[in-house]
Amino acid sequence: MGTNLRGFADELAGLVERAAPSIVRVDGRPRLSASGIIFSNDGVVVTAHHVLEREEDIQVGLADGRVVAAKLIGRDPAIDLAALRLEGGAVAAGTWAALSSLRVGHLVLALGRPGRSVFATLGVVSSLEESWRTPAGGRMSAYLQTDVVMYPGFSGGALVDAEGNFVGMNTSGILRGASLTLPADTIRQVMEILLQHGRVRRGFLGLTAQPAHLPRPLAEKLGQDIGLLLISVEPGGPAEQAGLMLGDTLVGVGSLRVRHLDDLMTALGPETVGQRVRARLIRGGQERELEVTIGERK
Amino acid sequence: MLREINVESAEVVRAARKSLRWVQNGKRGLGTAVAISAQGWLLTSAHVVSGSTKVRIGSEGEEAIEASVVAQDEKEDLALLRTDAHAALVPLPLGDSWSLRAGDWVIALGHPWGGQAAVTCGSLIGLENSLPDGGRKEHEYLVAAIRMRPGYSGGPLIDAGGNLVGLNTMITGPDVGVAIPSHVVRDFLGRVMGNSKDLA
Repeated sequence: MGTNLRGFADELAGLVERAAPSIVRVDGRPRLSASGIIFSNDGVVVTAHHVLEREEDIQVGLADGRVVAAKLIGRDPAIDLAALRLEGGAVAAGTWAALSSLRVGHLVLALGRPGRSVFATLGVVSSLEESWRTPAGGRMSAYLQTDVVMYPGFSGGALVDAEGNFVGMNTSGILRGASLTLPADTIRQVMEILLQHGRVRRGFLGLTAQPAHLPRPLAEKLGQDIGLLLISVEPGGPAEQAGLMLGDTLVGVGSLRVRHLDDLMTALGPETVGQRVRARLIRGGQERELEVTIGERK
Repeated sequence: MLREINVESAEVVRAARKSLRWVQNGKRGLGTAVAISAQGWLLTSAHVVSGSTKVRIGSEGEEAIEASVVAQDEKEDLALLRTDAHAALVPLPLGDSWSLRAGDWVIALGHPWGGQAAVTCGSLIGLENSLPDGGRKEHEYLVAAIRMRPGYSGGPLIDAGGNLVGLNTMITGPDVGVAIPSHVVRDFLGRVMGNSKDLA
């Protein structure tokens, strides 16, 4: 029988075998176990936020069969990421790699450990786009979707490329009914913040808004034809304290123009919490500027 | 490389199809059987024969023939068939399911909906001893990311070398197929065929 097909199968199984020591089982919810990836040799594990339904009594099953207790370092629900620290013992982290060499159509493996042994499914990269914002407001450096079958308990497991590198973490917790892969560089960025602060801060103004067209003369003057019409302002929130009112149309925060909610999310990044910035808005057909102190989203 | 894989994959499938037969139990069931010896022995699922003592088997361009149900094990969902009209039967070699590893490439064959022989392939997810829903514990299963449909039951799951490594038994989701590992099949054959030389 042919050698290429056999070689193909062997190579796939070989990739799985090499990556397996860094794939762990995470028990942090009733009944169904999930997966995690050893992030660094000092015992830090990344997993999906949505599979940890409790803050304490989290157990991690290692490749060698040991089950060790783990402490929750922190979570970022916006990108469905959580960090754990294993109690005692060095472990073997896999090799993480950027997505730069990945292309649509490439074969990739999804790895998980919902039980004692490592499990794997094969698929192709279906979609790879530039940065993307999750429905919950988190920023991902890429939108990476594959057609791998997400076996029960696969969330928190790794996506592995043909070289055996870990290119991200798979989760079905961001998009309902579909799996997405959190890119390795986004994991690294957020993990730095989680390891330092235990949480990812996000700016907060206390308002809800929707895009609205600006009158033509104003649009021409400002060089933007859309702003954000405030449809509610939270009592006592940063926006209300700064004097923003229902019916105002926000056109800029700090140095950024705001046309869509996504722009506002960008203007309220982790570093902005506590900052005093200019809010530019249209009220009664006139331009206004107000100083607002950005709060923190709880 | 992909082209060579395609050529070899087609070759493996072409060879395995010679061992494939559809099965009708005369009641409602339709499924697949796979020849495991040139002397007229075939394997299928117990739920496909569904208590019958005689079934009809056939394939495209061939007259349907009768086969006897020699043995069935409902617990493992395995059944053994025997036919005297075995001239055209090409046995599929029994492989070693213990040598399988997660990520291995596997191919399932069967007669979906009782129609023409069909094939689907994907990666072996792993070996389970209970199903994800917690049902049927203490059984060994091969779980694969393959899209089987009703009628694949009793058909072979083969490895990249064309060996029978499992017998398709059920699906647990649209994308997950389950097979009885060949080491369980071997145990079954040992029990029901004894020291028959037919399997040499």
